[in-house]
Amino acid sequence: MRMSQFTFLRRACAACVLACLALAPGLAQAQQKIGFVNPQRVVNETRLGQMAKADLARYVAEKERLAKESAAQVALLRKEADSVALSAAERARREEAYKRKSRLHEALLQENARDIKAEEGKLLQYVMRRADSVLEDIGKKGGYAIIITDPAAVGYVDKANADLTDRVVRDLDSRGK
Amino acid sequence: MPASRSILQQAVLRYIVALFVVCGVLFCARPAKAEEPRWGRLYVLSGIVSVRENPSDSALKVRVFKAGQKVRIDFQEDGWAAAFDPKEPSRSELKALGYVRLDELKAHGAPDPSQPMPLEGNKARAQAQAEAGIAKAEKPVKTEKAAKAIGKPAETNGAHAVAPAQAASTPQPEPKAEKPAKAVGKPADSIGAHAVAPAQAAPTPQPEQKNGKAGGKGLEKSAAKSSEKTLAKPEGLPAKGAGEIRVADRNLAVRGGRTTESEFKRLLRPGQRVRVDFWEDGWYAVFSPDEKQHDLSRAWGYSRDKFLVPEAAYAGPPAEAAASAKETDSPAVAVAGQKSKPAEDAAVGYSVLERTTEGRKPKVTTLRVRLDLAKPPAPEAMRKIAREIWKSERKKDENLQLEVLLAGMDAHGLAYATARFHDDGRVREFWWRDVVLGKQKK
Repeated sequence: MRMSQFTFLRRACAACVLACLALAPGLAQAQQKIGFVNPQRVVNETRLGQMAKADLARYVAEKERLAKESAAQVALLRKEADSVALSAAERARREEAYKRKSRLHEALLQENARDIKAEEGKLLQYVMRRADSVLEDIGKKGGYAIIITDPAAVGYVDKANADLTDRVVRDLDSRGK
Repeated sequence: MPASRSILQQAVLRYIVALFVVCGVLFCARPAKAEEPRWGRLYVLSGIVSVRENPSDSALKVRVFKAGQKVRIDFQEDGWAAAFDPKEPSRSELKALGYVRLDELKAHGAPDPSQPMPLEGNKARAQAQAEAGIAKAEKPVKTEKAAKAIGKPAETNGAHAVAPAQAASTPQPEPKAEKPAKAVGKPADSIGAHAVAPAQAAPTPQPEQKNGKAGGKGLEKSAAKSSEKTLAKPEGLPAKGAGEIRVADRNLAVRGGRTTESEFKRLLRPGQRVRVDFWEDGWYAVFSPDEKQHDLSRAWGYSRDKFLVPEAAYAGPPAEAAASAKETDSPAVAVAGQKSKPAEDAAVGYSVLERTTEGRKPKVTTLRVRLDLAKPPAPEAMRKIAREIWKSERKKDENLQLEVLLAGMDAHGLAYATARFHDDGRVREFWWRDVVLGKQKK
């Protein structure tokens, strides 16, 4: 009798331990959360992002200055080619110079657009890299398993609980001081 | 009879030797010919003329010429002309101080009547050389190209211790004979310390130290010698193992090898004393002045002989450099925007971090350099610094763009400033990123 009671207790304890072991990951899983950060807001609302935008605006202005200079040269060559008092050979020469310059101008505009896009990407990446370290901290301290930064990948966000953008903005600004 | 003949022979020999000595003395004593450049047009200004970085009204104003100042004008195009230091010997747009509007120039200046009408291009140069008798010594076109290719006006003035004012005012054409040495030398692209240093208007001369060998030589003589035969073995050469104290007569680079493209080791300031020895091919091995052991392995590096003058002969940096730096509102001083501070404080050192060339056509080489500045200078100063670095680092026909980092920045991170250039050295694009500083500039 004693023996059977002891065996029963032992079995019950083992079952409890096994049940705890089986349920533990599930409980831990239930505590981990998913967060979301809007990168566009990080850029728009942080001091670092504002500086990046100012840098990009300066870059765009520089590119526009180049394009403007080039356009003025094209216009001048067009004017020269359209002059009335020109021999046929001279007109052909100027026409050719105008066409060459026009092609260069077009290439410059394309290059400018490409460069601006590349610069925008670089600046955004720079800001987001700085934000990454903030996200890591928030993730570890807040118990977030995943923090999503792609708005297109999210259908619904509970702004009160899952949207971490405000917190990231605040932390990022405080780090820059 | 034989005895009297030998006496006669001895007398004749003595006479010939004396004749040679007299000729030698006369040759050495002749005054250095001050060569006036024969290109462009010299103007004397009667009013203020603005100088811009590019031939455009929207371009950055880099300096102002004042009334009474002389400027050399060339490369006229579309109502603009490139302005040079009047003493600039090489006709290269790279050496231009900037661009002036022709109408503004003519309103506030007139061609210098004392200067003969210039001849154009190679003809003028050929004639000037023929007159100076240096046609063989250097071919101007090649020299000019070499300077452009290496981007260093000279090992002294410029050389990685780029002193813009000196570069513009006292360029030392690289002797042709030095080219093979350059070709042999491996460019030190990986890591090298350099300095964009200002012109030294009034360096402090070092206390005098007697030196028997050096004492007899005059500065004039060394200047003449340096301009005529740069690679000839200097007189009074110290015997190997003995060494001699000399002083740098201007900002002078000490390099890892006997070529201008060797790794930069350190910068000697005008008037700085060093011990020199082991002369070879126009280069001295440079040691600490207190160095007792003349073991080549203990040398700091190597420097050009012509800019290491005997102590007794040193009387400050070349007059034209100092005068020009004062007269032309030295860009070097403006570079760091510290006009009121001593010139030495305005020197900006830099190190080359990386040089990469993209394979696409046209090939673009990107040079990443780090300035020895924790805080960025004003954008105008940064543009000038970038331009000086470009002049120093650009190789022949290279489409070189610069990425400038500041001290403490990640070598592989985003650069603070980026500059792209026209082939002639004018800045084509320039922008900077405050974001990498992490805080707003005030």
